[in-house]
Amino acid sequence: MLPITIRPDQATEEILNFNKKLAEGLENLKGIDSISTGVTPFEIVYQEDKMVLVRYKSDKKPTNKVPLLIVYALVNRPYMTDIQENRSTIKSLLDTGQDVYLIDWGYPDRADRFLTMDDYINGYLDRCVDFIRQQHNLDKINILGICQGGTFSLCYGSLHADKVRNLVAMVTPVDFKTPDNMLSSWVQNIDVDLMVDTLGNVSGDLLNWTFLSLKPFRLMGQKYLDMVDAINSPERAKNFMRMEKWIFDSPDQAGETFRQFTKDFYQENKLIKGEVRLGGQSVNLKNLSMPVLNIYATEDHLVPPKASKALKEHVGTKDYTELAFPGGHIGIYVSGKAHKQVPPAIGEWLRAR
Amino acid sequence: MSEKPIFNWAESMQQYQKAYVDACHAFVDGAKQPENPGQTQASAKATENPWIDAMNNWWQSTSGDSSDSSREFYGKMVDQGKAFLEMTENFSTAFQNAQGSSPATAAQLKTLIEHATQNFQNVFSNSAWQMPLSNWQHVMSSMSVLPGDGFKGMDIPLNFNQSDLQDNIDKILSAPGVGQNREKQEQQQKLLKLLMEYQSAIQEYSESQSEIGNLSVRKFQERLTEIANSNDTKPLSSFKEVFDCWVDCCESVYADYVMTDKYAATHVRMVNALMAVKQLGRRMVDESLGTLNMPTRQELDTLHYRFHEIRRKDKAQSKELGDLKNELLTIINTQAEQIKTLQEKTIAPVAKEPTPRAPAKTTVKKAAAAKAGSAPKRVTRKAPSARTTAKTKEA
Repeated sequence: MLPITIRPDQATEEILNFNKKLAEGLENLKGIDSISTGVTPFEIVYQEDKMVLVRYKSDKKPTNKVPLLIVYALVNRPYMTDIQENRSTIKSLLDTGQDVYLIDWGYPDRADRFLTMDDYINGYLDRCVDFIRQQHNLDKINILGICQGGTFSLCYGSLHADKVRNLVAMVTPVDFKTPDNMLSSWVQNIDVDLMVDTLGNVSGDLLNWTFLSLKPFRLMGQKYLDMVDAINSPERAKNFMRMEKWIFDSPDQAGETFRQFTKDFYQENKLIKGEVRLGGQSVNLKNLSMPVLNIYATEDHLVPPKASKALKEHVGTKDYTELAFPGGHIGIYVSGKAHKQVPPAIGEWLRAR
Repeated sequence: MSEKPIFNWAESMQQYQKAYVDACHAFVDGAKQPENPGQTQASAKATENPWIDAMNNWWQSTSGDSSDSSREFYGKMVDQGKAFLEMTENFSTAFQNAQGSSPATAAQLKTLIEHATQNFQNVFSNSAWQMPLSNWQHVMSSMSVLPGDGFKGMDIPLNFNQSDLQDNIDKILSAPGVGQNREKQEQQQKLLKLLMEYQSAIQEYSESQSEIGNLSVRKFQERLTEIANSNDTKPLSSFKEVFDCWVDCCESVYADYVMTDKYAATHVRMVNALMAVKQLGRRMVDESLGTLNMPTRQELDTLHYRFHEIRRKDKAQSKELGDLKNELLTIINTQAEQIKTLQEKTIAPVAKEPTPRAPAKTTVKKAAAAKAGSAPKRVTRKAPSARTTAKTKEA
């Protein structure tokens, strides 16, 4: 048997269709004037340097009296959580009755090169938490950390357990040296000191190159060819453009924070050893005495499931829950399946506590 | 946008289609394919693949109307499209004589598959899939200090043997500097040495990418053979399926390859070598700026560092001040409560006795009550006061 059975008439038709779709797709793209970065209305409630704390507005009154603060990663932009009307994690969380706040870290420039992890976690993040606590007259609030923001949240929770009522970690790296971690294997012997001393801030483009290099054939090739089939719909074309914008919208990383995160977390795996030090204090995950919900993606190529699931072995709480989402690192925010599963599960978990 | 370019493109496509259909008929009849199916009246400079010519013509005529972001994004799709069409050409040519009949032997099948896939790596590496290496060079170009475009010129053929040349250059570059500009000479020698190291590192990286390509082709051939020999697997029935199968093979090979220690070392060597070049370059640029009495990056870094230190102290002190204020308020409230209680205890028995000094009691009571009333209903110990928060905000 032949492995490929394409009749000449099929071949001609397929190629002709391909070209037609490509031409029609360009027309659809031309109709797209601007790409939004977030769909849910919000108000800026607190601001410091380039960091902005926003509170999302909803038609419904929050049923949960304890507000939820989302801590996003420094890498990429947080509008991924609110990318389009029918795929917004923020909207879905508001629908579950949460009062949602989010930290947007902004775009650091060279004057921010000396911002440290201590500045981010014990500084900006802590002041945001204090602001919300004061506004709501509460001792403790709920925190949801995403990816690197999840790692920051774990550090924060272990240093300020008295201010965190419930902690949700989404696709969060905890054990940075699992054997299936491609990113980790690449950075083990990078001379981070040389890199930061040379570049100052580490450029978003360089990080993007690294992330795209994890799956270059899919992310730089197949994706665009697949899009030819979908681009005949203006709505789908626009959604695709939103994702493209987000993928390449990568802020530079403050040099000193990049140095510590890469060395202490990726190269020396100090988080699970309890050896990370921030502001003169040791970060010990055993201090996480509050309820913890750990959500990971089974097909995650950036943060392998094992890297997230390691949290279970290290937290101090007895109220630990895991939620496995069958999808990838990005799909957990933007796929239709995720929206049916993940935010409702978070809402339910918080409601019970 | 007007429909004109698409109309032209469609018209052009029709002309090419005829040539292509002729070629396709030739496949069925087992006749020889026309030597140049794209050679029509419409285009004297048509290539061997009329579909790519049509796409090129169309893209050239329409891309100018697009916005920058659309053009960049769509350019990627067009690049992929070209690679895809080139792939279809490869397969059409390879399978033209085999349509309708299965290869008689395994050897024939192997030859057929090898013939169909022999150009695969070139198709993709020459057009759409130059990354990660080309992307690396692009990214480095965007980083300042030493212009990355200089590095772009360091593209070197894979078969370039530089060891002999490198030995000689190393000797020359290791010679000590002489005279008044001795230090400058040594610095430039060091820069050249670092550039040589980077060139060598990038060659090694390029070789690893090439190896991944070769392994991917082999994996693809194996996959096609599996499909041919299996009764359970459906044959690939469209070019898109062929393309997806190729991508799966590439990703699978890539994922295994880049997890090896060998690759990690190659990757690290390239990154570290470039950083070393950039760092020395930065130092040289700084020195030049210094001689021109211009501020240098190092000076700016020093200022930024001190500035951050001062801000940290300022924020810590603001927080401390806020905490102290809160504690002070707590103490005042507690004392007010204690005074009030004390007064109630001491004054109450006296009140039982009728005395002319009763108005004085009322004054004391009112003052205590006023003090108690000024305290916040609830003092959140660690939250900063509104004034403290306002202070920490940056204008």
